[in-house]
Amino acid sequence: MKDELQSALIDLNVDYADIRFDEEQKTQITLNGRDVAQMAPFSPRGGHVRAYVNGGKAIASFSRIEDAREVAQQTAAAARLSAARCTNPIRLAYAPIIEQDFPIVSANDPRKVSLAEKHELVAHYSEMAAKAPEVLMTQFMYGDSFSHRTFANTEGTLVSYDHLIAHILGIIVGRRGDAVRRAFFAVGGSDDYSRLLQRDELLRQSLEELNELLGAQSVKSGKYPVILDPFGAGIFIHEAFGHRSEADTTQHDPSLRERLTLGTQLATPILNVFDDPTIPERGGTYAVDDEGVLSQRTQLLSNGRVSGRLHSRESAAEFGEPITGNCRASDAGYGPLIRMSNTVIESGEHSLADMISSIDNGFYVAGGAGGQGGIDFTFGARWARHIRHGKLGKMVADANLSGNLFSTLKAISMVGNDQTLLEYCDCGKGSFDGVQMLTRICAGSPHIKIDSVTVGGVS
Amino acid sequence: MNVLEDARATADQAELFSTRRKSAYVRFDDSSLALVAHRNDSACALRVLRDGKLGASFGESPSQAGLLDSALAAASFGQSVKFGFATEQPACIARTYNAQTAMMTAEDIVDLCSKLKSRIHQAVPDATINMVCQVESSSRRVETTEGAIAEEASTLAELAVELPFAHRGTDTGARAVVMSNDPIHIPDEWIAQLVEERSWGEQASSPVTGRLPVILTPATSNLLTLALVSCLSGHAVAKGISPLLDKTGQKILSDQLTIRENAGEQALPLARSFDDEGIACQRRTIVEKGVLLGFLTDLSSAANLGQPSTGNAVRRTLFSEKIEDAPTPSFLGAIIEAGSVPWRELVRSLEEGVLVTHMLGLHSSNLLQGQFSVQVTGFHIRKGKVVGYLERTMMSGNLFEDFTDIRGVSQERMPTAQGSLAVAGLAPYILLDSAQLTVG
Repeated sequence: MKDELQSALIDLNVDYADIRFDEEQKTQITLNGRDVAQMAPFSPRGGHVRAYVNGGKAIASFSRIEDAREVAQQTAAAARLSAARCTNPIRLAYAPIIEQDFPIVSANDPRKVSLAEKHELVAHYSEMAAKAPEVLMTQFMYGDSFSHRTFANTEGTLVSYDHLIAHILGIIVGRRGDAVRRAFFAVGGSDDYSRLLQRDELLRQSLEELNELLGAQSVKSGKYPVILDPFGAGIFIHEAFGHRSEADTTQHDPSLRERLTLGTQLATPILNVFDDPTIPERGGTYAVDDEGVLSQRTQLLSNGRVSGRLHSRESAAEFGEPITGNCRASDAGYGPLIRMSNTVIESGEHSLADMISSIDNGFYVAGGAGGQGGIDFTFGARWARHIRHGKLGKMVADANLSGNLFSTLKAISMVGNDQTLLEYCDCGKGSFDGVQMLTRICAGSPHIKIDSVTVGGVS
Repeated sequence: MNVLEDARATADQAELFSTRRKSAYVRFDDSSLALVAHRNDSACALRVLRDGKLGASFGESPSQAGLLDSALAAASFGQSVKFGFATEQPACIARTYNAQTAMMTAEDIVDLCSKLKSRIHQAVPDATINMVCQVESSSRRVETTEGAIAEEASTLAELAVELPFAHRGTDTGARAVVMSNDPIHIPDEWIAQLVEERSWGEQASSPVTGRLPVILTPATSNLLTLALVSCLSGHAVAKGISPLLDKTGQKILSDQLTIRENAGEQALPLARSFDDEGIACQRRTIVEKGVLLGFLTDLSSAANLGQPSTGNAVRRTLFSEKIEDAPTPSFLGAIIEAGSVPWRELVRSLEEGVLVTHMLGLHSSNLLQGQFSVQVTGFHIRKGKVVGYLERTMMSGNLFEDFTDIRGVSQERMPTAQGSLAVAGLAPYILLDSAQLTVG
């Protein structure tokens, strides 16, 4: 594979080019209730080329390795077309040349587990959920994905690296009278298959949440102080701030670039946030990115001040900042984009009890129903619980939260001492050819208190 | 070796779904050409039934080694299904291929965008222009061992333009999209409306929290169709979780709303003749003047309901762009009937209200119950005029409450596309009597 990729880059007559080929092995088992909706082991393959000429850029994706050379030449020609018409030349920051292999070594490798055992495991969780009272529909999905990627560029970097991840996701829908509500179950998110085993207790907890949610009233919309659980806070920091730490989301917005200048007091001084793909065995863990740059930890907020941002080689050159190794692609169908890895709020000094007792009328919010972020962000809660006079009260349903990056980060008044890294998470981000879904990431946080957040619900 | 021929010897039935796609794309950032891209790929999905059990596998092409063995291995664990694969030949009636579009090169697209850039700059010399344009040729084929063979080729040209508001750092700007099977032609009125929308973004203006009239643009009619898909899905009906379970023949929405499913409608840029299981798409009325008439099924959910499939299977879900998801029922051509009022008249009719042009976070809502809670961008209207762009505004409510009281539906309609769902549509502007807005 390495020889074929290097050969494809010979005599392209470009300033820079790189080529990547992905060979994947995946397993997907989907159970609707007790029925197997789909079970499939499969092995997609494909490649991606980038070429740069005089500040012009072109990319291409392809399916067959036999086409690599031809596609590379076409891409080089397209980069020359781009150079002739572009008025803002694109540059690349320097990256060290690497020649190394980064294989995955997993003590509990999901590839060594038979299809029958995987089916038995996910069927066990599905059966357990389907038997619960008032549960009308369940969908449980087992997925594992091994990706062996080989990357070469015209500067001499030649690397191969692996990604391996396994997870189980469950959606459980219950009905009581006219109320239809959902609960979620998510485990795994690393190369360790054993994390999927013996998780009945977590599923029982989800079923108890669903039971309470079926009797819950919808939340009344308004602005409230809220405590976010580590899942909610992890999604909050990912959606509200993390995406704006990805340099390509601010690169073409002069006003936003100015507001996010390094050193700016963006958040409350008790907030510290980092992104670290070197944390072992998490969804966002990797050794080298899809530009052949070694991964590293990047401090994003230090005492509330902007202290770094996530870069590709392009954006690092544009901003005049160091490369960070955050340029990744979901799979061979796409070019790499700047992506978060494991993005974490550092622990603070408050206990959850302190936070609850500080609220007269607000909500404890358990996150996990997805989110979307720009300068304004929104995310859905699995459930929320009313806090009245410093005490937790009844559960409420249909709580979606929204806010503004700048005002919300300054409204964080307490950071808990109970940091937790989440299990399975993924993230989608728009790119030229659609939204690159299912890029593996991880978020982590302790509980946090935000003094005022908009909660959408009933009038 | 033909994989379906092999499957005849080892499986009871087999179905092969395959796609090919070739595209060229250009992107302009800050009015400058930033990227030229090409894509050339293929994918296939094989499903087999053996002893009544279903298995599937995926690859880049039907000739990929191991495709059939993987599907058979998967089937050995599957539970029995009640359906068989398509047996009939659907008539391929959608006319979605244009040879001229298919011939367009990246250079042609760069020229098209450069000319459009000049025309916009003639109207607003200081505008920053972000623009993407993609031209794609693709084909989709379904073949089964039961005798069905269906294949359709299509071309699609898509152009999206954004003119950021002068006060940037707001994530907002004037945006417009055009989609066509034919080469893109941009009329002057299209540019004029884009430029007018940019002029509305000179200042922010948000209403106070409370209930206000809301105009949804054709693009944000997704709120209606996406939420309805969850409730109309044959799976939700068969499992008894759809709130519309026993509502056939009853009024569920305003009598101003008629929604048809007609994937073969020629005005749809993503028109198609058959679904992703090779079943012919049908022209059906789903909601007639607010009254529910039918649901959407694929082979699996139809079998569970004891009915034939309505031809609404799609192999993509909200969060995937691949074909690796099991087929699921969806609108394939959601057409909301036009009303009689010009959309500008809907704006002029408002003492105070909002025009919603984009939404964030619809997927986080409990759509199964018709609940929605989304952050919206758009414009604040007072005394019939736009007075500024919305900031930090959330809209929430329930589809089956807020869409029962509609003041008007526009006579203009525009093609819409829920891209990741491969759902095409035609939608008008819709004026809701009121919806809850929470302003942060």
